[in-house]
Amino acid sequence: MNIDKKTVLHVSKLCRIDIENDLDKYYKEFEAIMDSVNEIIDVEVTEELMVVPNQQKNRYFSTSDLRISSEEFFCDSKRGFKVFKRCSK
Amino acid sequence: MMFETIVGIEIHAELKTKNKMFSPALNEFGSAPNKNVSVIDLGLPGTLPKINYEAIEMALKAALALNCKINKKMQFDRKNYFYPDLPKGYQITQNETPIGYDGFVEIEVDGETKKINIERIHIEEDTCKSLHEGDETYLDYNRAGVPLIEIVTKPDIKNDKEAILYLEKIREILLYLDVSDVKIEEGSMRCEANVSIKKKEDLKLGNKVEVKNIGSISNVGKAILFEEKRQEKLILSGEEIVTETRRYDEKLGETVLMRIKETKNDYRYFPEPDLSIIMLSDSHIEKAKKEMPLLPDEMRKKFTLDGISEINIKTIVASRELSGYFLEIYEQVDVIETSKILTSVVLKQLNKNRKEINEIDKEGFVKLVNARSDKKISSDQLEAMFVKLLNGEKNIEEQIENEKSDMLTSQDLEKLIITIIEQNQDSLDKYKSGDERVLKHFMGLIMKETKGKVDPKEANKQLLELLSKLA
Amino acid sequence: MKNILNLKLTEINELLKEKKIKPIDLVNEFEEKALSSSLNAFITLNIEAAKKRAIELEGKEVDNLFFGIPIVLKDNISTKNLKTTCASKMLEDYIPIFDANVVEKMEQKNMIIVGKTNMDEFAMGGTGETSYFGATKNPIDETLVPGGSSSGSAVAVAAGIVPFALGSDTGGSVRQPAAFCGVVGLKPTYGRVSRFGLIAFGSSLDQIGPITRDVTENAHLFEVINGFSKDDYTSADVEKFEAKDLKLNKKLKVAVPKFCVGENINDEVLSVFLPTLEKIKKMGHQVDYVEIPFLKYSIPLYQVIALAEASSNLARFDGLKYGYSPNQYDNFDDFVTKSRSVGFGAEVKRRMMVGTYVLSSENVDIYYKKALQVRQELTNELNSVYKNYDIILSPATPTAAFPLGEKRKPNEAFFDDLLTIPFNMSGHPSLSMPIGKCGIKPIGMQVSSNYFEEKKIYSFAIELEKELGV
Repeated sequence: MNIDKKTVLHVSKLCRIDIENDLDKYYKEFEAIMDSVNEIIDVEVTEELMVVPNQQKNRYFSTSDLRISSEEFFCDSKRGFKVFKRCSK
Repeated sequence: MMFETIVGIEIHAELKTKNKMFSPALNEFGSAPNKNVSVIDLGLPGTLPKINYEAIEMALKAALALNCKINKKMQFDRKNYFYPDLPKGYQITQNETPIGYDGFVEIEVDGETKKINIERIHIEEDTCKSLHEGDETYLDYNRAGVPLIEIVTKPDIKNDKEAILYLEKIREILLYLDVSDVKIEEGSMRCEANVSIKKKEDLKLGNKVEVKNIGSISNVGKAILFEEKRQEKLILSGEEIVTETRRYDEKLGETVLMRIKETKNDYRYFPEPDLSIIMLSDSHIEKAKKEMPLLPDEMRKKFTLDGISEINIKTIVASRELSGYFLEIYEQVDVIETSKILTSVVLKQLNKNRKEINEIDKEGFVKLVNARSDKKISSDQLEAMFVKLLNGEKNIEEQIENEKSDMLTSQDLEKLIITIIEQNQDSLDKYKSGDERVLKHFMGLIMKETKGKVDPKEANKQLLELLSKLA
Repeated sequence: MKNILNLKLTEINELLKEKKIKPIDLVNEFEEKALSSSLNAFITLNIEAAKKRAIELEGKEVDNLFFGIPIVLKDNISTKNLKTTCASKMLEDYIPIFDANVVEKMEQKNMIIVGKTNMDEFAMGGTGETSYFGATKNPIDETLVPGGSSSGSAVAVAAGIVPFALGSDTGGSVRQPAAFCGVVGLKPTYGRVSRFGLIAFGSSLDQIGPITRDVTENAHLFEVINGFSKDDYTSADVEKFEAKDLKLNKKLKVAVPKFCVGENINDEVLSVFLPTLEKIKKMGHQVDYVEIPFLKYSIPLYQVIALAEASSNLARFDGLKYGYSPNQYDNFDDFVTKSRSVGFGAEVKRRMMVGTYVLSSENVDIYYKKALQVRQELTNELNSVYKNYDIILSPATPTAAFPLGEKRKPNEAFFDDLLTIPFNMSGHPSLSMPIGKCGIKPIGMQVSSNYFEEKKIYSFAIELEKELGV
């Protein structure tokens, strides 16, 4: 897979990281890591996917055991949790 | 130029579980802001989600009611995007294995049954609620993590009318399953319509326009109508329909542009590594089926077969409580008579007294309606005694006996009327020759003889029947 | 009494029981050592609260081995009312409102949390150098890296500042610094220690593990922190590990993957590892070389799976509710972008970008899903080795500790975990223990077993430790 700078820039925007001033540096590093990541493309495998080792099955809760509530977090909010001032821009 | 419209609808419905989808915080509408919040709902670093089985059960019932195939091995997936109302930077949802898929519901369009295919129904968590005050934004996390089901149709809907019928049908089903409050105004049901149109002769569909934030079912219809016109106009003036997201502005009666989708959203779905997988066994499914109530369509069929009038069926099925109450006493009563009583006297008095049907003692009510269908009491007496029952009268049987002792049984009444007719042969002759004025004369005699201990309507009815036999 | 903390756990416990010392003495000694240390092993010292706790404990009966014992935690383990920074500017001022499950378990034993240790930022790195708070130094030689990402935890124990520490291990972050510093570190079976409260890096790989001076004490600390948790749905509902009967009752069949003594492994390491294998044979164990072909995909596997999960796990750091946030911004996207661009260091940004890329809709099948399949294949291979063998042995790291500040290519940063990653992928338990030195540099051996067989690992390691006299 060939990666161009545009792709790297797009990816950085997807994860909300501004790299425009260091694009060359990040591009080179990205490319280097992808060189190794690409080794995985042609490996021959069966169809199984492994999500988590020792995958647990059918675990649920059915009681209202609220061990940790977040009261402290919101101790002084009445209307809601104030987030940020929006700008008209 | 002729156009065709194609609509797909996405419904989000909040499940009315006790707790949230992935945390044990309470799922409660109308609490003070940020009261029902756990560290899991906030997505604080280091927290891990849990699974609420009640939500899975409810979603399973909904999937079964929508005739879906069930994914017996389910996983949850992460949908990644940034938004102020999304505490973790991702939403836990079901992408690869929706709990239900390939289902359908049937709607009645102009007397014809039409199948609307359901592509999928899946479980996900709700986001928090943003409140804007001046230029400040506030977040209420009470809604964060509330279980949702999302129901997505295939693009089977042709116009506003079908859309409304479909939405009403889904609303009714979810209400009957008792899995959601389905109140659009409270946000427990949300609708989005994907509208595209094409010229009749064209094969390819135009670009899809997504309309969000529609505040009522009827507005979904209005939004579709507006979109049809707007898109037609664009095509006729040679412009292209842009794939975009719009919202419906109730005041303007128009859809308004929210955002243009420049590139496809890349949600980077992948299996949620923090949760166990869920294996739904046949016994899980059987249990859900067993707990499911009779659904409105089946109920309508049953009532029709049993001879209940169409208008009464409509009234009864419109209320889950009323129909549920009816079904519970169904085997013990004359259902046609009872359907009449429920839709008249009962609804009238419940309304007047601001009471709920479930407050009425079933045993007493059964005795009351049976006394009426056996003609032991008049309809006026029924109404009077129903009010007593409504106000907590325990001894309805005794009441019936007291009233009844004053009343002639319908057999006695019949005998009396026959006697009166026989004694007034000349009046009978007049009746035979078409003089209907004698009816009044007969009624006068009956009321006099019974000293009023008879239901005049009932007496009149019996008199007419007997006269017509003799005539 | 001086240097009590350098005594064995059982000895300290005796002194406490006999009331010859008090818990506060241990905290004071820790404070003195920590403050005079130049290794930059700590981000936050918890002295005041620890002293208060120590004094509270004076009235209580010494009811277990860990009563009153100080411990330090990697700074990605949430501690209520105590800063938990992940060594990042992003969380520089973040104070959790809840304790991690492991913290509760330690408090049940009346252990005293005396500090939070330095680490690679968000556990991303293998040298300790990516910390926002500066690099940690190796106590063996302050010009060497201590390894990472649990750098401060390994260093604090190796330097004798504190006898016990917890780290977290996503690709080798407990075992590798343990090897570089000459201490013992375990990555438990996936699911055996609750992750609730551990700030996630790669959710399907992360495990919290104990770092100690010797194997027996490691087993004891593991006993404290392991066990089923209803807060973690990946936690395994198995019998709790207890640190007793840690004796082998038979000779073991030992597998050594050829890959792990191959061209990628530095001579410094092999010069200690291979003679150790000979000793193990002499001890009567059967040692065979085996082929495990999928081991060679460890690094790309890690780069895809760990970084994909990290890109999602770290998405919650948007500066909105907690964490670094900018004063000036245009709109929400700008707010988030500024928070993250300033709040995260370069290594974290790089890794999140790779993770985002391999999950993007056009790449998810060719990279991420493929990696999940390769992971299963590797796991199958390891499982089939465990059908015939009790343990797998390998060097813990491909090299010994190297100089701080060495210029390395971005891809080389993953190389230090070459031999440890496979067991995060498969979920098998694996322990790193010192087996000797090359010059002054400690060399670690990795002992791994089938799922939930930590007892076998410890029993073997204790026997070997005795034999080697390290």
